[in-house]
This record gives sequence, C-alpha cells and structure tokens, in this order.
Amino acid sequence: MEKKVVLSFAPELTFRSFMNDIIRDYNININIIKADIEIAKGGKLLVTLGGEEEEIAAAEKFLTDNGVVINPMGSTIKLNKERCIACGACTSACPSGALTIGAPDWTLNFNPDKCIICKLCVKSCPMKLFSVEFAE
Amino acid sequence: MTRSYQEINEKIRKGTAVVMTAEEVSRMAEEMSPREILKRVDVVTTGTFGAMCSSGAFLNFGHPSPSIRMERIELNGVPVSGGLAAVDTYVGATDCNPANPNYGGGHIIEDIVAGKDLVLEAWGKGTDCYPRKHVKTIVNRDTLNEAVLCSPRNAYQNYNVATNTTDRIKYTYMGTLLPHMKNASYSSAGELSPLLNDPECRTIGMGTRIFLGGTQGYVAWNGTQFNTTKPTNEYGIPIGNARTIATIGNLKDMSTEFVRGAAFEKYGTTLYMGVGVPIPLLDEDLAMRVSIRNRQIETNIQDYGNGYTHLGTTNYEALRSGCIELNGKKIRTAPMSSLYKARIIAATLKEWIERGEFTLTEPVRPMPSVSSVSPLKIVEVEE
Repeated sequence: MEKKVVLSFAPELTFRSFMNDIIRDYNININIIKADIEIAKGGKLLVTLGGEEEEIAAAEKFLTDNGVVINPMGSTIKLNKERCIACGACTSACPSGALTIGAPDWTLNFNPDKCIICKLCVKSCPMKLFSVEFAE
Repeated sequence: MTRSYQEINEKIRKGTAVVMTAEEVSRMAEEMSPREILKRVDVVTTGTFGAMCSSGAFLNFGHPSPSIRMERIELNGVPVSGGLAAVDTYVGATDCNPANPNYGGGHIIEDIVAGKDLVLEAWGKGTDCYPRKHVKTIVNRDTLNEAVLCSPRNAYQNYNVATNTTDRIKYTYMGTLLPHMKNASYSSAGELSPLLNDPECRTIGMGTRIFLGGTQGYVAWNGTQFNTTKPTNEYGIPIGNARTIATIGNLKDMSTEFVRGAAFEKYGTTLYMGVGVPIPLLDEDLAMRVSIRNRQIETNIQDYGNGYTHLGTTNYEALRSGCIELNGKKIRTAPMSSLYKARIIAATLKEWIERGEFTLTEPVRPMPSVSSVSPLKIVEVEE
C-alpha cells in the first residue's frame, strides 16, 4: 500500500536521519514530494510511505515515538482569535515556535508556517479556541 | 510628606488627582526617588487577569409556585451546591459534570454575565412548607433575583513558576508542562500585580473598593490561605505565593471581557478573573512599594512533575524575557495569565479614577498582620 502524509519536525529533530532509519529498519519505500525543512529550524516533509500495511504502521510508530508528528495531508490548526484572552498557555506548550507571545504588546502571534500540527495547543488552550481542520 | 484618603478623594472629585498605572510608575522610578514620586502621584492602579480557581457566585432563582426547597441543583447539566436555603445556590468555578469536562462552574458564571439562557433543573424531597419535588426551567441574568460574585481566594500575591523534570508531559493548572524541563510557566502580572504593589496590605483590607470583572467590587475579607510568613527579599517582596484577597461584587454588572470560564486539560474547569486594586500613595513607603520592578520580584521554580520540589528561584524580568536559566540549563518560559488584559484593567481603573467615577476607600478592617497556612493533618478515624 501507499500512504500520503505530512511529517512535521521540531527543530531538535532535524539532526537525525529518520528517513534513512525507516527505509533501512522498516523496509519503507519513501518518496519525498515536497520538503520545507531546515537544520535546527524544523519544518515539514510531504511524503508517500510505501510498503506492507504493518510495515507502514511500525514505521509511523517509530516516528511518533521519537517526536515526529504525522498528519493527513492538508490538515491545519485554526484559532478563534476573537475570543483569545492572550494568556500565553498555548505558547508554553508549542514546541515549534509557531505560537508566541511577548513584548511589547503581549498579544498572541500564530505563524502557521512554523506549525507542525502536534495539537498540543488544542489541549492547552484554557478557552478551547484551537481546532484541527482538514482540507485536501 | 504624607497624604490622607480624604485629600486624595477630594482631588479625584475635583478631577485633579494624578493617577498612574503600576507599570508607568515603575518606569518613572528608574529616574525618580520615592519622595519625588510621592510628590507627583496620588494613586497607582494595578491589574491582573488569571485563572482563579477559588472563585464563585451566589445566585437566587426566585420561588416557583408551588414552592420547592432545592436540594439537588443542576445548571446546564452541571451539579451546583444544594446546601443553601430553598432557592439559593453557590456556583463554584470548578463545579463540573465529569461527562463534560470542558464546561463547568466557570463557564456558567461567564454565561450568566453574557446574558445567555441556562437550563435550571432542581429536585427536593417535598416538605409541608415546600411541596414541589421537581422543577425544570430557563434562567438568565435578568430572571435571577441576585447574582453575586463572592470568591474566597483571588489575586494571589506572587506565584510559583512551574516546570516538569520527568520524562512525561504533565497537564496541570499551570498548563501543559513538557518533559525534561522543556518549558516553564508563570502566572503573576509581576510589577502590575495588585498585592505586589502593597506587599504588606497597608491600604488593602476589608471594604477596599476594587475593579472586579469589569465593574466596581470590594475586598470582602483576607483571602483563604492568606500567608504572611513567606520569606521576603531585600525589596520586601514575599518569594512565592503569599497573601490573597476574598472579593465580592455584582455579577450582573460584570463583563465577559474580564470574566471567562476556562478548562485545563486533565485538571478541570476554572474561572479567569480580572482584578485591579488602586493603591493610594499616602507616604514615601508606599511610593517606594509601587516603584517595584520586575527584576526585583523573585519567585520559586517548582517541579510540578514531582510533588512541587523546589528547584531554584528566578525573577519576572527573566521570566518575561522568554528564557530562564536553571543550573546551567536554559528553559523556555511562557505566561499563564494575560498581561495584555492586566494592562487594560489597570488602564481602565486609572480612567475611572481620573473621571471621578471611582473614589478610594479606607479599609474598615485591616488584613491580619500574622497569618500562616497549616497543612491538613491525617489522623486515625475510628469507624
């Protein structure tokens, strides 16, 4: 089977060779369709994973166990900014630096380009203002 | 030089009082002595907007006909107190229905402020004087006879910084704490925080008029867990959570800008409250207190993954920089309370005073000068 997914990497994960690992250890046929990633900055890979169903599942488990976030193509995080109180709780949880708060105005900034869709903000927002949306 | 409450209020009524926010006066203090600040400024306003779990509201529903003595009460499916007479209840911020953990007492309080309809269902055993056994109806802000916010513990003076040394994510009331101290969260408004600008509560006591949830409220008492015994630093600032205030005000006059229900993952529901306290500059000592700056306000770093173990101390200037250092390790920091809203609160209170709509009150009873917090002792209970 073949599966198209987005792999998102936090900055510290860019120093490891995950693609090599899943080809060698999990027998995965990988095709990188689009890469938007930089060493030490993090980013995303749009890939197709090819192989037996169990092999793909095992490779995905290996990746997620090591902190790589796997999402279906086109999923994005939406924020209901109107109700945001600018507390900062989401920025505390956000591992990729997509959500930030700080001087001078201490309002919330959301940079979707940096978002790795780990969904920690969905859980962490005390006002429950984040949601995951899917669009092909 | 000293100044009395009466003199300040006279100036407020005439529109000549000089009012500054605690941040503005802290900037002034970079160049001015407390004596000069006292000469120039009459009142300093403070503000904070954070999760205050020990908040709640008394409601009175009115009597249906025939009447009922409500013993079990639900609002929008959330069980609330049935421990008061007939048709009164107390909604606590953390009241919740486990089946719906993201909607609880804090949200009910916000919905009342917003004027939304709530489903009230109540049961009683039926008595000779209150024959009805069940009622189900709609209530809202306008149908309630009274809706009074009355919170036993608000506006903590200083608060711990939370981090997590374990290898698992911890979901706490201090937010999501990543493993291996990948982040740390803090929750005080620092130099803008009410009780840090009058650390010994010289001007804050029972009856002090304050900004509460967008309207005028009052300090009702010393807050629960009021603690005067925390160690203080060279600037007189208690290190860690110390004093608190109990607050009271008319919920019907409040605004959802400053009263917001909230839910923390795997913790439960709470209420984000906006509180602002005016500090009258009566003398040089108070002028010095309100001049406090973030770098002078220190607090404890605790391991929320491991029984609140003390890990070190830091200050609010470092916390606000986005990164603190602990034993050589850099930890990313983020707030849990809204500085953005705290500034709006301090600025709003300043405006009210400048416009002559808000005068200052001398406490009718001071806060306790000595008060400590005891743990709960666990003793053998005979069956």
